[in-house]
Amino acid sequence: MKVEERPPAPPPEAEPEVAARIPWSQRLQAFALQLLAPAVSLLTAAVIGALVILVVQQSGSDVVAVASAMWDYGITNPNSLAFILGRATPLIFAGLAVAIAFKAGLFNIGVEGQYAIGALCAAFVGYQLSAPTVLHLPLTILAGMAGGMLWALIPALLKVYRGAHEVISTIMMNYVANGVLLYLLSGALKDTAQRGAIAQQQTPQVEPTAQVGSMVPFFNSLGFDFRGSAPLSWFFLAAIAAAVVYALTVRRTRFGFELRVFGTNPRAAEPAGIRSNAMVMKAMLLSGAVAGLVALQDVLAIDDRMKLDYIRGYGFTGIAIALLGRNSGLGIVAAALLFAFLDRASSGIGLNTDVPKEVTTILQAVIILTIVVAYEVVRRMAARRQLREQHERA
Amino acid sequence: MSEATEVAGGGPEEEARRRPLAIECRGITRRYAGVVANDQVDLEVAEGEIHALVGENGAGKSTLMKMLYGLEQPDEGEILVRGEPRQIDSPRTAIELRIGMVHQHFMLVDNFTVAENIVLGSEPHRGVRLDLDEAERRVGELASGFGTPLDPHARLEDIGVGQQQRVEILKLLYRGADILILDEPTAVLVPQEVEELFASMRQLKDQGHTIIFIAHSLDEVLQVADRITVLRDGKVIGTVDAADTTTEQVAEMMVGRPVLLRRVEGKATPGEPMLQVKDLRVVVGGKEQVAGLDLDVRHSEIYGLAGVEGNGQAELVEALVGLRRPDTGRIYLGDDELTNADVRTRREHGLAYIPEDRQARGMVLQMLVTENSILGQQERRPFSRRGWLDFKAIRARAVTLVRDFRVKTPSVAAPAYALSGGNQQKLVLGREFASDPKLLIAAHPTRGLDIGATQFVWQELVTARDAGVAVLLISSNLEEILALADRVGVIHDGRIVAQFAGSEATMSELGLYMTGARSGEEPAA
Repeated sequence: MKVEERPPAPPPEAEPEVAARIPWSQRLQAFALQLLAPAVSLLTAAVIGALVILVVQQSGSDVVAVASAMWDYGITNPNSLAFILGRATPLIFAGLAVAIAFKAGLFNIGVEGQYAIGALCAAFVGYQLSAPTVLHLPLTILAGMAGGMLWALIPALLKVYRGAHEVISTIMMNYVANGVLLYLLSGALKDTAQRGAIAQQQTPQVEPTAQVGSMVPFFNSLGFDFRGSAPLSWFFLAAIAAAVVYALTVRRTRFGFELRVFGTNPRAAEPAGIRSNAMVMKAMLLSGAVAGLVALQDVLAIDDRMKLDYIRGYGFTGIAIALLGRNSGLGIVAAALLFAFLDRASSGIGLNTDVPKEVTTILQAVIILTIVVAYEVVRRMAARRQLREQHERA
Repeated sequence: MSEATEVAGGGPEEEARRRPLAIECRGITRRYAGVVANDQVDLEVAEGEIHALVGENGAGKSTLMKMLYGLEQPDEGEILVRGEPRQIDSPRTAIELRIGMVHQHFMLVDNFTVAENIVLGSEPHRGVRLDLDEAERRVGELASGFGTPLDPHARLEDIGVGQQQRVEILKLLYRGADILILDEPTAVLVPQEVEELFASMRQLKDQGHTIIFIAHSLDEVLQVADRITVLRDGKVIGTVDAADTTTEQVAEMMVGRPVLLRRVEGKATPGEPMLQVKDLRVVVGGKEQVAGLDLDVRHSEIYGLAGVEGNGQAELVEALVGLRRPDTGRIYLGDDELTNADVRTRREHGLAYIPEDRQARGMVLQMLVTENSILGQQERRPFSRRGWLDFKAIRARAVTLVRDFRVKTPSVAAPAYALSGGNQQKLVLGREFASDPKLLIAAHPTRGLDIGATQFVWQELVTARDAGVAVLLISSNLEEILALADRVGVIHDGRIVAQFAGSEATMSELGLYMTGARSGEEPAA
C-alpha cells in the first residue's frame, strides 16, 4: 500500500484540501447500496419461498395463488394497513430494545421475558390503582418499563460483577419470567370475578383510566376506512416516536457516541474514559425499559388485561428486525412493517388458498438467513470501493 | 522505474555478480484492490550473501517477501530460484525449494521444549511414535554448529526472545532451508542480542547460506549486510554495496530526499513534578509486574523509560492511565492523588495517552475520522454541550488534525479503516497532542512509522515538551530514547534500575541495565 508521509520541515506544500463532508451524490450512492442488501435478500427469499411451494404442493398455480392472496389480503384489503401498523407496533419496540443492546455490543435475547414482566407490572398497576387518566396512564406505562428494566437488571449485574455472558443469563431469565407469570396469573393476580365453565388465567381488566384508545377513528377521519375493531392503538405513534428518539440518541448525543465506541471497540473505549461497566448497565437497563413497552398495546389497548398466552414471540422477532433494520431507527420501523405485512399476508394464504400459511414463516426465516449473507457481501463491496477511491486519490 | 539501478561498486558487488543467483525476481508486480504494492520489482540475491531490504512503511518489502515464501502470488513477473523459474504457490513449496522465513511474530509453541518446537511438522518417528531422543540429538547437533549453545530440553517460555529467535532459525535449518528470509529480526531484540544475531548471521553466511532480511535501522543494516536493496512506493530504487555507502545515502534513497534522524534539540527547563509515582506495585496473575516503582516526570521534561518489553512497562502505563488498579503505591497528577481515579478523571486533570496498540486501543476503525478525532475528548466543549454532540466543532477539529498532522484521508467523513496504518497512527497521535495535555504518556509512539513520520513525531514531542508538557516516553527503541529524553530511566523486572541525564546515557550502558546484566546501583538522576 502506498503511504506518503512527510516531515514538517521541507517546502510548505500547498495546503491539502480536506473534504469536510461527503458529497450528496456519494451519500445517495451509499444509501442505495444499503438498500441493495435488503432488496436482494427479499428477492432471494421470494424465489426460495416459491420453490418451497412448488416442492410441497407440486403445482405452479399455487405459487400464483399464494402471491395473489398475499397481495389481496396484505395490501389491497381496506383493513390491511390498520392490521399491519397495529402489528408492527410491538415489533418496533422489540426491535429497538434489541438494537440498543446491540449498539453496546450486547446480545439481549431476554426481550421476551422482559416484556412479559413489564406487561404484568403494567396490568397490575392498571387494575389496582385508581386515579385520573393523566396520572394513571403514565404510571401504568412507567410500571411496564420498570418491569422490563428489572428483568434486564439481573443479567446486567451478573455480567458486570460476575462476568456471566448476557446471552446465557437473558435466555435463562426468559424461563424464570415464564414461571413467575404462570404462578402469579393462576394465583395472586388471577381474575377471580370470572364466570363460566373454565376460568382463564388472566388478570382483572385494567381500569378505563389506564387504557389506551384506538387509533382507528383518527385514521378514518383522514379518509381511511378501517374496521373499528382493528388492533391499532395510539401506541403505534409512541413506537414511531421511540424510533425517532432512538435514532437521535445514537447519532447525535454523547451517550450514543460512547455507546457506539464501546459497542464497536470496547478496548478503545476504556482509554477514552468510557467506563465499560457503566455502559453495560445503561445499555441493558435502557434495552429492558423499551422491552417493557413491547406488550403494552396488547395489555392496555387490545385485551385490556394480561393473559397467560402472552408468549407472542415479539422478543425473538425483534432480534430479526434489529438485524434486518441494521440497528437504525428507520430500518427497524421498515423491518417491523415488513414482518407485520408478512403476518397479515399469511392470514390471507390460510383463508384463500390450499397452501399452508406456514409458508410465510419459511419466508421470514429465509429473509433472515439471506440478509446476513447479503449485508456481508455489500459491506465487502463498499470496503473495496472505498479502497479503490482512496488509491485513485493518492 | 522498471529496472534496478545497480550502483557500480568494488569487491562484493562484482563478486556477487560472478556468483550464481539464489533468488532472482523479474518484473514482479502485485496489486491489492487497485493499490500497487509491488511495481515491476527486479531483485537479485546472490548465493551466500546477506541481502538487506529497506524502505519506508508500505514500500512493499513485506509483500515481496511474502511472495518469495509463497504466501502471496505475483500478478505479473517471475521468480527464479537458483536460476530456474518457479511457481511458489505455498509455503510448502517454498520449503521444498529450501526457502524459509522467520516472521516478526514467532510461530512457536510456548509450552513445548526447544527440540519439540524445532521438529514440529517434520518429527522424526519410530513407527507411529514420536522419537524425541532422536529429535533432541539432531537439534543438539544443529545448534552446536550455530552460535551459543541452546538447551534442547528447555521450555520455550523459559528462554529469552533472542534464543526464541534462534529456535525459529534452527527450525528452518532443520528443514533444510538454505535461503533464509528474516522479517525485521532486530525489532524485538536489545543491543546485545542484536550483536549475537549478527554473529549468527555471519556464521550462517560462511556456511554458504543466503540471507534476505528486512530492517528499519540503517546502522544495523550497514553493519551486517553485503548488499542493500531500497524499495520506495513499491518500486526498486536501487541496490547498493554496504561497503561503500552511508546511512545518509540509504535514507535519502528511501525517502527520496535528504533526511537524517538526529537528536532533536529544544529548550528543556524542567519545572515542578507533574507525575509522581511512589512505591507502585501491580500484580498480574500472581506475578509482580511492577515491583515498588518510584518515578517522577516534571513539566517541560521528556522522561524516557527504556527497557526490554515485558519488564512491567505495559502494566505501569495501564496503572498510570487508570486502566488497571495498582495493588499498592500512590500516583499523583500535579498535586492531586489519583491512584484509583478512573480514566475520565485523569483526562480531566490533563492526561493524554498514546497507547502502544493504536489501532486496537486508540481508535475505532469502523467509525469516522471525525468521530475518532475527538475520542477521549467527547466530554469537552465545544465537542459536546449538555450531552449533545456539536458536529460542526467536531468536523472543524478533524479538519485541523488532518491538515496539521498530514493525515492522508479521502475525507474526514470517511471511516478510519479507509486510512493506511501509518495515517491511522498519525490521527491518534495528533488527537492526543491536540488535547492540550499537561502530562503526555506516549507508549512506543513511533513503532511502525517510517523515517519521515518518526522525525515528525519526535519534533511534536519536543514541541510539546517546550510548551511545558510533562512527557513520559516509553520505548524499547534506544535510538529514540537517546534522541529525545532529558532524563532516562531503565526499567527491569518492574523496577527502575538506573537513571541517567539524557546527555550522559549511552546505548551500551542502557543495554546492560535493560538485560539485567548490570543492576543494583541506586538510581541517581
